[in-house]
Amino acid sequence: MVQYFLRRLFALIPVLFLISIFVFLFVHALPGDPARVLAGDNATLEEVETVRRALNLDAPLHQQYLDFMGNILQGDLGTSLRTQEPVSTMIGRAFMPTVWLALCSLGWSVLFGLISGVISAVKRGSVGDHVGMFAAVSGISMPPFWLGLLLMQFFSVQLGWFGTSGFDSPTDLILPSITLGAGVAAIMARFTRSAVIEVIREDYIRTARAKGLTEKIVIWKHALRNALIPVVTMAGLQFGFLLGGSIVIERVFRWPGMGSLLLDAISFRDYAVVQAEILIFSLEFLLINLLVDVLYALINPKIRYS
Amino acid sequence: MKLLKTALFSATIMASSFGAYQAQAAEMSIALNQIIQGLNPQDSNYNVDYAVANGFYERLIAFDADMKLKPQLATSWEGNDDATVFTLHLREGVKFQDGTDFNASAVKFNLDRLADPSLNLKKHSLFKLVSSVETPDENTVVIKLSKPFGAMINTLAHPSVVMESPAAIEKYGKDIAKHPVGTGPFKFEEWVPGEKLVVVKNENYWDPEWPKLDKVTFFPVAENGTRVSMLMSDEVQFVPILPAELMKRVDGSDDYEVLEKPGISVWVMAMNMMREQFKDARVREAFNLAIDQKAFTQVVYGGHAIVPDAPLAPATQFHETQSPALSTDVAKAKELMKEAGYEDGFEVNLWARNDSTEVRMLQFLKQQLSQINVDVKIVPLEGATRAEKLFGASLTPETAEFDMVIGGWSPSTGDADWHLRPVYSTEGWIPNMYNEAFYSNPDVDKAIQDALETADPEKRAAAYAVAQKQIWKDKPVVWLAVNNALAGRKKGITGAFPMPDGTMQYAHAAYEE
Repeated sequence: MVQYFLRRLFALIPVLFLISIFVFLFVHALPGDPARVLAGDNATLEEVETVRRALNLDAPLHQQYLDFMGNILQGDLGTSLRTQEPVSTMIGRAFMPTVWLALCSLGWSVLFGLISGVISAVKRGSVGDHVGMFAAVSGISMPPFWLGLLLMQFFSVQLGWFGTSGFDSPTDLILPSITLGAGVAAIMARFTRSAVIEVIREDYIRTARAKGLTEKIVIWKHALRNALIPVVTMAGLQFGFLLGGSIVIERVFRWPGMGSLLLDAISFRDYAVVQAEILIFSLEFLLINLLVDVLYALINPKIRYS
Repeated sequence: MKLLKTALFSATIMASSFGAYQAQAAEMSIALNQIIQGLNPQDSNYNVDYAVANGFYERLIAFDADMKLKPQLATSWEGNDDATVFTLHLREGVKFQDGTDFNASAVKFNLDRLADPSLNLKKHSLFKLVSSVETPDENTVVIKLSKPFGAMINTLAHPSVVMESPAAIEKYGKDIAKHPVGTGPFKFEEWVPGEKLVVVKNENYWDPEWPKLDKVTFFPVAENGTRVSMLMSDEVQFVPILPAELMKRVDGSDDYEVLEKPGISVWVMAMNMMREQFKDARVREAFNLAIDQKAFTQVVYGGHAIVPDAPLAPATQFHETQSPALSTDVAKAKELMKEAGYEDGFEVNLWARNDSTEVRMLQFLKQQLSQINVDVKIVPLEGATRAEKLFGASLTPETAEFDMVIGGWSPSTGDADWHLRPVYSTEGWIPNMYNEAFYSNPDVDKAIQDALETADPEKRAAAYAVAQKQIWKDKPVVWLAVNNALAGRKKGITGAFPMPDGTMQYAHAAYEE
């Protein structure tokens, strides 16, 4: 198992290398000239050329790629064109707020999704099931920025319970994680429901009931555990997206995270920051995938890796 | 559940104690619509950078709330007749926040830096003509130009022309953009890029009456709705840029008010005069007649804008009202199109940014022009893409892909020169400056040049009158609107307000007693 894990870890290196080439080409293929944007709205051509010289953007593309790769291999993510700060500093600042937000959102939404999904599956066709699934569909379809502004208007402006935005204290996590987790909770609920419905038709569930086990144990131990594989896959996938930082939610809640950073970087064509962020997102996804595979083995002892 | 209750309770306590603390210590928070790019206005083209700098930096000459010149670090000034030598008399007894004396040599230090092309400062372009800066005594500065430039005094009032401490520049070099040291009533305390900027009271400010606040904090908040929510929950007390569609939320409240000021941004739809159709003056006139500007101001700005009455906004220096005023007459427009041979209209594209305001403009203009059988293909463009396609260095008049483009121009010097020259002179053709119509009229070019050859306001006014009249007649653009500057503010605050040029003032902000 450990050997397998290490092998998978090493296999990430060539993948990341390929990603770096794609990311570089993709970012530079975007239309838009960073010198123009950084020079500002009312800049004259002369001012734009001044910026281009100052930022060394007149170097040939292959030279820029070699510089980029050379730096990355030395663990240096480069310097932001816009702020002239090291990219690692900027990402260091933005990383934890996004991780906190992702963990909180995933935490409540997986818990909520699992419980309501199982209840819906067991009481299939009941009023509770319909209400639950209606809520889930609403959760998926509600535009997050609208939900966010609505929560903000109610809880921050009218009731004054929370700050509207920013990340200055742990309570600031509440509204953005509700907003961000709503969609995930809904997806988790639907996924769990259908997985459990499938499982409770299986013979071993009937056997378990015939053995005289209580319904509680049958459902929460036998059925849920077997239904978990697709649910864990989905949760891993969602966690990957959450870690990428939600651009929309972070913008609405003025969250100082990776999503806000990416949005600013893209609109200013801040190549170094965009490249570094996409590389990090890719790495996160690869690691989460690996983690999900390991979780499979823990959930279902029949799955063995070698 | 208990945990949640505790969390809510402590949040409430925190919120209320924060509010109380704020009242005692005379603090104010401001929500900006953009992230701050840097804290060195001399090296920036962004209004948001100029706006925050207004507290910790000062200029020699500044603008009052209506864009009229007022003394700041210079108490008086004069220019010679042919606009080549300008003398400024400086305020005495001023010190930078690091203790350095503010005097003629500090001014020379700053102006020499701006005039030095090798430093690559973005606003060097304003000072290309400076040939020398002399300091006959401690409190007098003489600026000599290599050729006449009648708009020099207003150029000195440009929000980028701030006086920075020479000692601090020696110390920090290029990093002065992260450690600003000026003469203003507030001094820099902390900047977390993308998150917040904090400035605090300068105890040694030269005017003992100011500042009244101990601390001002700025938050960049891109989302319009969030800015308003922050205001309505008293997290910020001033929102200098408020979109018209959200002003009702503020206006209806007892504790907050909307501030409205005439702006100096003139919105136009430029017609690419390299195109055969737009070479015809009748077509350009027909387009102006087909579009209902009054309705435009309603649809796009909810009525918080005026219909332009000249190429310049009324608050811009040397503006002169033109006649006939803009009017809407679809029948006459159709007739002109028929005369020009376009009775059945033609197809054109129209470019703009993809933000909600400009997309509304696009839809409205498409509908209006369909009345004269013109089929408009609207092209909303993402900011950086638009900038490259419209102002890319390789662009030539022949290869420009747009037929019409929407743009707003606000002259940061408050003077006619920095509106007419970039937008209507031949020298201003994109990508060089902002003449997007490729409009060229030798009479206009000459009038703009004449106005620069003298420092005499009357002669300058006369020359700009000639230029405005001719442009108004030639109609290289469809004039659309001059939008008002809208801001939201907590009631009981004075001295914090939006400026017509899109920046703001907060140096004299105070809570009423």
